[in-house]
Amino acid sequence: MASSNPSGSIARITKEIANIQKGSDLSLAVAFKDTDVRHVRALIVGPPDTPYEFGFFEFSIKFGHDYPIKAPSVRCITTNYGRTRFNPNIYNCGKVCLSILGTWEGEPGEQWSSAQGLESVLLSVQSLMSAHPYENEPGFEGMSKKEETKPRNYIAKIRHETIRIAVLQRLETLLDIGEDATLVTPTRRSKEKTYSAEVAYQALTEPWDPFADLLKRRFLWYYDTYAKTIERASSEQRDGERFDIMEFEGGNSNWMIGRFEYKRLEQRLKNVAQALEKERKDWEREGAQQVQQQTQPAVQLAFQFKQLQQRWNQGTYSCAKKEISLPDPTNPFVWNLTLFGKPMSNLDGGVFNITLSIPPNFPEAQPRAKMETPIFHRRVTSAGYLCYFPPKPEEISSHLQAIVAALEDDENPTFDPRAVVNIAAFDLFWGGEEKRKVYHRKLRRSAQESSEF
Amino acid sequence: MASYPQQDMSDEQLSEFQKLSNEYVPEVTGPLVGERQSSTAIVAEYASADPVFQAKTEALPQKYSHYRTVRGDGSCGWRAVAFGYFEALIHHGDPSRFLEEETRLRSSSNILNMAGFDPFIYEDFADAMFDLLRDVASAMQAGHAEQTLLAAFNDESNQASILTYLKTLTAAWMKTRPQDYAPWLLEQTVEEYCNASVMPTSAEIENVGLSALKDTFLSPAGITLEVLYLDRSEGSEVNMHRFSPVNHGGFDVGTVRLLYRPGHYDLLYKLQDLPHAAASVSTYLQIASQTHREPICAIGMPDFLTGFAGMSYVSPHQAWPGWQQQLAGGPFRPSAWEFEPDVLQATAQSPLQTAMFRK
Repeated sequence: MASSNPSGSIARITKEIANIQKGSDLSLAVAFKDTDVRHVRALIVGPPDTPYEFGFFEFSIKFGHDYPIKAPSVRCITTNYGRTRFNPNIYNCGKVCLSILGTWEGEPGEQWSSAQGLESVLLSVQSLMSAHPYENEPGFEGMSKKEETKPRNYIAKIRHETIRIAVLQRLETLLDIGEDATLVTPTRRSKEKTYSAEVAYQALTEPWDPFADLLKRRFLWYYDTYAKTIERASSEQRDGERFDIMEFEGGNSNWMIGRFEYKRLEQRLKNVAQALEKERKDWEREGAQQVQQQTQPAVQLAFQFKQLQQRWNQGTYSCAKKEISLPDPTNPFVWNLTLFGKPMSNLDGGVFNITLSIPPNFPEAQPRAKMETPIFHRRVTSAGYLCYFPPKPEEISSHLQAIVAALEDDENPTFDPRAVVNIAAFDLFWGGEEKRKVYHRKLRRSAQESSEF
Repeated sequence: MASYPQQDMSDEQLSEFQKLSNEYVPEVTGPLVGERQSSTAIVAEYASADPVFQAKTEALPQKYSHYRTVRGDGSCGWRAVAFGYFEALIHHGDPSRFLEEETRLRSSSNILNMAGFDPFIYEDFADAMFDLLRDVASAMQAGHAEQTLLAAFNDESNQASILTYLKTLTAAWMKTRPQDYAPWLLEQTVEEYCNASVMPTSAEIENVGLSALKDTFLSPAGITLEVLYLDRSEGSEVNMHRFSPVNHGGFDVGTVRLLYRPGHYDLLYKLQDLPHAAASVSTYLQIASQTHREPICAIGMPDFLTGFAGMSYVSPHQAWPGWQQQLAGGPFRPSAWEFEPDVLQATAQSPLQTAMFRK
């Protein structure tokens, strides 16, 4: 007799995960342990132009044996250790209320069907993180006019907590630094929190943080946006002011309470950025140690450099001239790439130096590319970090080509507000024909200045 | 059900009964598909109900000797049709018919693809369907087809896979011919209807969906669908609604009969539908079951053509456009044009019910 086909549903889950991993949606990421495909960790990056902007919201998704006939179960793990409700429909305990998941009895919405899947679930969750989250609450329509400050206050505190919890707290944990930038040991951290769904969950399984490196790289991308949000909000919100409690909040600490403290957030943001910069320097040191021990990655990188050096420096690749070198000839973990601007392009006459820092655990963690030469470019942050997309993240040569492609930027650009790493440049680039011209002019000027740098 | 004084009921009491009837909540426990039992059990169940139900249920066993309960878990309509389909094929008696059906349904993956369903969305469920067709076919030769079928439908996840396959098939069928179904939907596109009322795991079958399921799943197999409505409408018998009579190349494999009580479907049987040992009268179906058993490699062209969903000899929808005008603007039953004259007359006085049977 035909019975259920668990291996079939595993094949489907695997395929769905692969589709998202292959996809170009920068706001979603999924990961699973090889031993358990049914337990998926997902990252949803808060959508731009919402109070959740570029926050890192993580979810634990469990596919039961009746999937896809039944919806998977979804729990939010970005809850400030079970203390913060980020959305009327995303509770402090991690519960996500959505009609598609069968966890929302409110207004009739989209129902689960076998044609739904991981991606549609994630997109539905993401749609909760809207510009007006207060309106998710069903009682919203009946609200009187004078209560319109409520939605505004709700947005204000979500914006604050997104940066405080879903960005800074997460990164500080990853980098093992305290809120005051002092080093903390993981044990101290777990002791000081009394209850934590996340810690409880991690205690059951091995430590597993699939998005650690991704979050660090994204933090560098979005640094300018975070800084701007903090700057703008701190002029609107007085530090020390308590959060307004919404009428739907309460009971079992299912709320978002606290105070505005943007001054501290500003400092913590800088601390995280410094810690990441320090991490990059540590890679160099650890790399040097690996060279001494003649580890396999060290030997391989040195070999790859020799190969690529020949090809690149002798112009096997057409177009603009580029050179690679090792600042420290004995350490293949830090590469220097010099790009000479292509004639007749915006970069014409420019000479750009880029440092590519390769982590000792490459390709598990990805290299970071930083411009040493200042440039005004829509793909380069104010700190000089480059946002680029290597087609083969496990190959250094793919990184080099992607870096050049991102800087030359002459392919058909696609509008993606999740790749805003330089706000001013992005606004000019996508601000219409006139502004695009200004963008190109500024880029050309920075190219000319680069030769004098 | 509580016992009520049965005579001289006041209007209040009557409306109370109507309320009870409307709120009838079928059993959500018990087997997913029960054993076949005598329909006198239904009479007993309604013995203390109001007179209309009493009269209707009392007349029931005369025409429909047996019935089978289907668990009222929100999928009973889908499950009843799926189970009835297999039973009709078993009753038809030709094991090669199962392989023909598998071939036909496999070819309908074109429709699924055309409707935009990625194969990986439906493959597992289609496989469950094909597996069961094969299992029942081989069980038939071993003489225990019915037990195999009953066991398969009481396997929670297996039957869920089959129902999911049928939902996907129905949605694909509707989406690829929206002009046939759009006229029956109120303020909804076919796409919206499928997403809200066909595809969701929790969606019970509605009339338009049932009609589409019949069109894509039953009719090409030569199976007729009858729905018997047990409600408080006038009359001393349950109202029978036969969806388009079988006229697909002249072959008639069998009939699926559903007993509908607001919000719930069970299966009904006439004596002639029963396995041969249980049936005391000879029927045309028995004759049909003794016809030639052709090996599958020699599928005749006519049969082969009907194997493609949508390639039935007579499109049941050719007659629709002319009826749209007559039916537009009021509540209707989707296939009212298909009533046989006597049925049409019998139900003419009864107020037409809404097309939607939401739980």
